[in-house]
Amino acid sequence: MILDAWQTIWACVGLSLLILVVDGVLAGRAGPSKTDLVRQKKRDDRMVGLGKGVGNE
Amino acid sequence: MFAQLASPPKFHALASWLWVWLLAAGVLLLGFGLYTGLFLAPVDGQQGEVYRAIYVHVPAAWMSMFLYLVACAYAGLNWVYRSDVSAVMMRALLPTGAWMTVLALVTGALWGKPTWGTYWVWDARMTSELLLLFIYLGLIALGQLTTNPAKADRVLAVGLLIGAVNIPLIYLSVVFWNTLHQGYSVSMSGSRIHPDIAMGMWLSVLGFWLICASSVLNRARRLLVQRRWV
Repeated sequence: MILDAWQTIWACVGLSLLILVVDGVLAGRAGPSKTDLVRQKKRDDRMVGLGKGVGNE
Repeated sequence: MFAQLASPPKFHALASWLWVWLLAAGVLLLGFGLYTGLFLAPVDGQQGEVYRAIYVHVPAAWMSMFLYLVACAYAGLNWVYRSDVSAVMMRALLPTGAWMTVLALVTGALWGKPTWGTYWVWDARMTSELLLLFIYLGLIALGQLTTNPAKADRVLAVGLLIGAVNIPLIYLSVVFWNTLHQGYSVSMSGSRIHPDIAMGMWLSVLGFWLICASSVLNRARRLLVQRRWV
C-alpha cells in the first residue's frame, strides 16, 4: 500500500503522538506500584519490630 | 543549587511537581507547532505537502541524539561522584531515547517512500541511527544484568560513554559519506529553512523536548522510590 502525501503526514503525526503517550504511560508505571510500597512498608515495620532493621529480612 | 539537586529527597520533590508542568507546556507547544506546521506553513516547492513530516521527524531525530548525550553527561557524573540521582537519571533517559529513535526511523521511512521511492536504504545516516537504537536497547538490557544496582550503574556508565562515539557519526554521516538522506538544513552557522516553515518546526522541537523531559523526570522519581532513596 502506498500512502499519499497527507496520509503519510497523518501516519507520522499519529505515530508520534502514540509513542509520546506510550512513553509517558510507561514512565508513570516505572518502579514499584502503590501496593508494593505498602507491602514493603509493612515488611520494614515488621523487621524493625524484630530488631533486624529495614530491608534485612 | 546543583549540589542540592544531587540529594535524592530534594530531587524527588522537585521532579514530582516539575514533570506535570513540563508535560502541560510541552503539549501546548507541540499543539501550536503542529497546527502551524500542518495548516499555516506554505507548501514546499520541491516536495509538495509531504515535507510536513519534518514537524515530527526532525524533533524525534534530534531528541534521539540529544537524550543520549544527556545520558552520557549523567554517566560521567555517576562515574566521578557516584551520585544516586545521576544513576537514576542515566537509566530514566534510555527508554525515552529509544522511543525517539524508533520514531525517527519509522517517520523517516514513511517520508522516504514518497520522496525517495523506498522505505529504507542502507545509507550512512539511517544505518547509524539504527545502530543508535541497538545501542539504546543493549544499554537498557545491560542495566538489568545484575541485581547489584551500584555495579550495574558503573557498567552502564561505561557502556554509555563507549556508545557515545556513534553520536558524532550520525551527525556527520551526511558530510563524510554521499548519502540519500539530505545534508544539514540547520547548523551552528544558521538555518537554510524558510522562517515560515521553520517556526512550526522549532515549536515542535521545543514541545518534544519538554514532553521527553517530563517523561524522564517522572520515570526518574519513580526509580528513586524503587531504590529506597526517598
